[in-house]
Amino acid sequence: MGYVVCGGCSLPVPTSNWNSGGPIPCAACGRGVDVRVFPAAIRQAVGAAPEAIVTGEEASCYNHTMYKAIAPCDACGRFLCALCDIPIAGMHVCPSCFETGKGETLERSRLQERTNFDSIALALVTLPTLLCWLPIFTTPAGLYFLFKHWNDPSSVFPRGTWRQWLTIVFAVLQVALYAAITIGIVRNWPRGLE
Amino acid sequence: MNRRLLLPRESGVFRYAEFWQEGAELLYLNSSRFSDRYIRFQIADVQAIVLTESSAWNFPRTLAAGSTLFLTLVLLMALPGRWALWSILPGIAFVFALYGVARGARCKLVLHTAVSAVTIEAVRTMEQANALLPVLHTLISSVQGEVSRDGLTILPVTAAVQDSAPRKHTPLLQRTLFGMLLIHAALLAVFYFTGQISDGLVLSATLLLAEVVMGAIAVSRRRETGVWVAALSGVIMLLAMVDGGVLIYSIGNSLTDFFVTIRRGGVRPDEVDWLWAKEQTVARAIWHVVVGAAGWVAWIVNREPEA
Repeated sequence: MGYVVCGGCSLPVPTSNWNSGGPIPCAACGRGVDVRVFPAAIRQAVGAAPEAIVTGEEASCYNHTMYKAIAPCDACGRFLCALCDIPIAGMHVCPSCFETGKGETLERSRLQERTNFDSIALALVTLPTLLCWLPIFTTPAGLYFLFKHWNDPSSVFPRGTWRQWLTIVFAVLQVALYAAITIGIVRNWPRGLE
Repeated sequence: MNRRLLLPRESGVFRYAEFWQEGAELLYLNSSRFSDRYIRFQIADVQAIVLTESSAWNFPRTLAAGSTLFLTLVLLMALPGRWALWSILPGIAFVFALYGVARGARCKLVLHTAVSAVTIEAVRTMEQANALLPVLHTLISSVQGEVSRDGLTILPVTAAVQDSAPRKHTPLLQRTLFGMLLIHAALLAVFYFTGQISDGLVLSATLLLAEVVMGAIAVSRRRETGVWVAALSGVIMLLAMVDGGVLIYSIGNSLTDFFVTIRRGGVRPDEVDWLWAKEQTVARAIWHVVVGAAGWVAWIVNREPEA
């Protein structure tokens, strides 16, 4: 494992400085670098070789009929040999299901990004209020975002729905305010300027 | 799924990061507030942790502190009379810059696996690193064991997983919010006693808007700050909304008077009557002092002793 580098200058940290119990100054940039290496770094990776089928009564792999199946895919049920078996999140998954992310657990473990449409909608109806005219466009856009993505999955952490309701409250207030201002201007417009 | 937050959230204005333990996995969340990115690490797959220290002072931080201090002083000296109060705005930015320096030495934490090296943005200061590293080291060692100093031998698993819940803290946002309430009250007092209430209304309305936004964000961080501080932030948000609503109504009525004045033949701003301005200013100053003081008390009571 020779890729451990200093976070300041990106030069390799010598192995004599690993697991030293505290930061040691980098020889190049002088910043303290604390490297803690764990057994996964030095343990040899052992690949499992598939076993060939000996008798006709043994189940074979869906992809490799000459190899013995060791587990079914937890997403699609196909039999898998040691070559095809992908252990992930406590499941056995075939390569095609891994690619498509079938199954709730597999989807959760593969999840990499979520868009928070409720935050976008709330920002659209709040931040532009700093400029008087911008909410005329952004408030409808915020409401569109809100209702279009109301049921879309959001963050994996519980967020509640308060942002969505707050967006509606702000939007209604802004619409009412702009209506009141418009009515006020029309009713009180100086006759001399007409 | 049983999740455990290993560190209090590391927040910025446009982003935040969190680091969780979720069973046999570590879950790293890096959010732009509009979009969340997740990276999961199997604890058994972590090969190394690399922590690099750096100074509390760097070029952008020095530039920010210097320029905001310069702007504050320039506005203070250049603006006449009560207009000099506007120097409070770069002054607030200067306080933020100083707080950035006061957070102490910074660091960069990189988590290595066989296929990736990910910088954990949830750990930005040495204080955070010193809180996280023992927990993380214990977690990984309890699954994998230890490596000897020579880096060749794997020692057996001996360490037990220690349950160390993250320390609650009151983020900068809340302290700024409570501080801003008291500054707002002091500004109102200045405007009131100098007889210039109408001049201070714009600044006051801006601060009310900021209080609504900051209060809303503070409520959303209730898991980190505790019930009382979050509840107070909610009260601040509601009061600021009601107060701001009355202010807008007052300004609206005053504008009507303004148009009436124009009709009578000429713009005479002195005739514009600010409805309720005096009474509302007094009420605003009182609630700002009461809630601001209560906020500081709640923060002091909720504050946990340093480890």
